Amino acid sequence: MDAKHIVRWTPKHLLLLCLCCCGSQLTAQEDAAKPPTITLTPAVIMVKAKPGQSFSQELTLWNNTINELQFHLDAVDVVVRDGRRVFVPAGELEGSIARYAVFTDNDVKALPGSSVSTTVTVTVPTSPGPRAIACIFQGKTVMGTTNSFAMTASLGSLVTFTVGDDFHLENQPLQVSVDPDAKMITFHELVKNTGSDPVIPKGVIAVTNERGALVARMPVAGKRLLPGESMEFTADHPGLPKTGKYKVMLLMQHESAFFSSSAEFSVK
Amino acid sequence: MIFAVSVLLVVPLAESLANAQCVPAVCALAISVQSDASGLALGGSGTAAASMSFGTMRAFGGTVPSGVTRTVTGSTWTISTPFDVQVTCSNLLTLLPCTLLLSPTFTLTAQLQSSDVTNTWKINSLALNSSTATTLVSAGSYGVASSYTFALTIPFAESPGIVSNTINFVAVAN
Repeated sequence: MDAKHIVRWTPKHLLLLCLCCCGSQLTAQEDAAKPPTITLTPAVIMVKAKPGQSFSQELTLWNNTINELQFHLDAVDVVVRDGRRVFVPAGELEGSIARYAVFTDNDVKALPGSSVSTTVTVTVPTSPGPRAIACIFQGKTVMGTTNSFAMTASLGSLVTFTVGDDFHLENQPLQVSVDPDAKMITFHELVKNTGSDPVIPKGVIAVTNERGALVARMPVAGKRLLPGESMEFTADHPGLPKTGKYKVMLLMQHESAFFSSSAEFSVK
Repeated sequence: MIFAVSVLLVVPLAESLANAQCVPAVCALAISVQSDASGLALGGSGTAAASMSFGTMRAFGGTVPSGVTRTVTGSTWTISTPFDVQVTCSNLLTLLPCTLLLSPTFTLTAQLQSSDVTNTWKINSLALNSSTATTLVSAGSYGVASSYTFALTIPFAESPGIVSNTINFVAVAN
């Protein structure tokens, strides 16, 4: 995230933050009543860095099960292959960032009903290839007997790196689907990250009638796109406007630019 | 509380430090493996460490546990059963949906813990191995107990004995 997008903390923000943190502690206590599972926080970390710079982040895993669980900390690179995110072992890719991830504890034990933390420190290599890593608490505790199949669930924090402020997107034409049976209009547009840094496009859709009057406006939720990744951005409009021709405009923004697309549709 | 404040106020102290932005107090990921209503009852269902016990099975005859399907071909036989994995993106403040945290979906992978060159292990028809993680879903929906089908294919040429392994699931927010 670029520095200009970072929130400027004021005393009011800090007060809100304290309230939030108190709330999180209370909620953590309430977790005891939730299903027995494991929880990792934070789930996502966005880092803006230059080659050679380092950052550190504490990762905390809550064990809400009745069993003592052991985990091995592992960092893997996250890249997009064939349209899917895949996790590649550290060091296999040229410019691997995961290779330079160091945990304060490589193996941790989480007691029942408690949490365990470790700090990961990552140094961005000179020529980083991928732009994301996953710091995984790899479950090592196996349940069951020798004649059963065990399944262990693990969690990872996604860490994205913005290195060169190289934000480029390609978007397909805006599509409109009118479903008279469901009385729903769906707007969707495929967007691909053609740059080398992660981007989070988001935007708004405006629908106008033949006279140019605004009929509807809907937000388009942001989604994170890693380099090479494509996603469809959609917005649903419940209900159909009255019969007529309409124009729809999608205005999106990302880290460094705005872009728009438009289409026309009719309701019969 | 002190930890959260210190993390949120990360600022570059020197040129060698990167600029990280995260909100640990409102961003957490949870996972559990559960029995599917039409599948084999799991040991440890609903937790992060579950197990499937098929008992003693054979290609022909014998007993097939409830929720398990046995399929026999010319040279192999397969046992399969559905199970559920649920991933939630819980907002510890319980105020904001995770979509506002720009992580509306998750990626789920599976990997065998030990190599098995004899039998074939699959989830949703995707073969698993011990060297790389197989991506089961690249845009999973939070809060939904999604059903996956586990399948183990055993060749007739294999000698009778115990087959066991561990499947490691990893969920990472998108």
